[in-house]
Amino acid sequence: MADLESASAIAASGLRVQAARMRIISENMANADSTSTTPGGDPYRRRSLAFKAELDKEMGGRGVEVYGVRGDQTPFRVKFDPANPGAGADGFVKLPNVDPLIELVDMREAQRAYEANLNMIESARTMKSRTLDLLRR
Amino acid sequence: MLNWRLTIIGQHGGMDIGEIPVFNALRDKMSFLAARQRVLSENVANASTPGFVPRDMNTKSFDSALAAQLDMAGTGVHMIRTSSGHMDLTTSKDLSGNYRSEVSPDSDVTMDGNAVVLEDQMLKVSRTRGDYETMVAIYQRAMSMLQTAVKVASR
Repeated sequence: MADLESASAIAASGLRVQAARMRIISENMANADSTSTTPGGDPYRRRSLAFKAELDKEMGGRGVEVYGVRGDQTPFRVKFDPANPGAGADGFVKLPNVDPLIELVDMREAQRAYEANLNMIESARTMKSRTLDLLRR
Repeated sequence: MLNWRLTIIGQHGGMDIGEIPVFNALRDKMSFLAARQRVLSENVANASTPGFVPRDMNTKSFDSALAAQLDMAGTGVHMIRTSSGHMDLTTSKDLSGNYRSEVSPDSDVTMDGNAVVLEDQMLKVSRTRGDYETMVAIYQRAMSMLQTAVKVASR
């Protein structure tokens, strides 16, 4: 029984990190066109999560946790748009290094991993309830 | 760990249900399957962790421990094994602790070194769940047989 409890707790840690990943992805998507508010400044920088396996005594196994959020160091795109408040002296404005296609793929992956963790919890739950059914006889 | 202690008191003293070989074997197998489900859960939770290599139960160690237990000669009436692959449930011994997880990479490794393939893991999860439910069904069947015997005796 303790193993099944652990299985659920570990899968729940998976749900947590995938949800956090989804949040960061939606931040990136929402800010895909956010330019700087000061002339010549940097626009929104794409962010991504790093995960790491973490042994948790209370959880009873190696769960997963967010290791850190990093800014993407890919260069910004530039566009000639002198009317933009974020444009530099030369009239070029820096655009965020967010590629919606990459975000979409990442989103699908997060969704798939989330579903797998849900499936895991469901399995552990069924096994537990089948065991408890033995008491009803 | 699964550990049911139901005691039937008879003329000849107490009898622990966990000591009845069939129940004992079922309990061991169920503990093993529950532990396997925990290990698979770790793999699924870490499906996006860079460098993570999935683990699985070392079924060989469990099977050999089971085989070693079954090799011990039992006393009293027992079924004869007609094949070396059959289980002889005449002795009882706790097998928990005889299995452990070991590194078991899936069919594919991504660029960040993660070797978890969700499809492979899901297959293992559903197989483990199916095996577990089979064990529970057998347990119920064995229990109802025991009840039948108790009913006749108390009449």
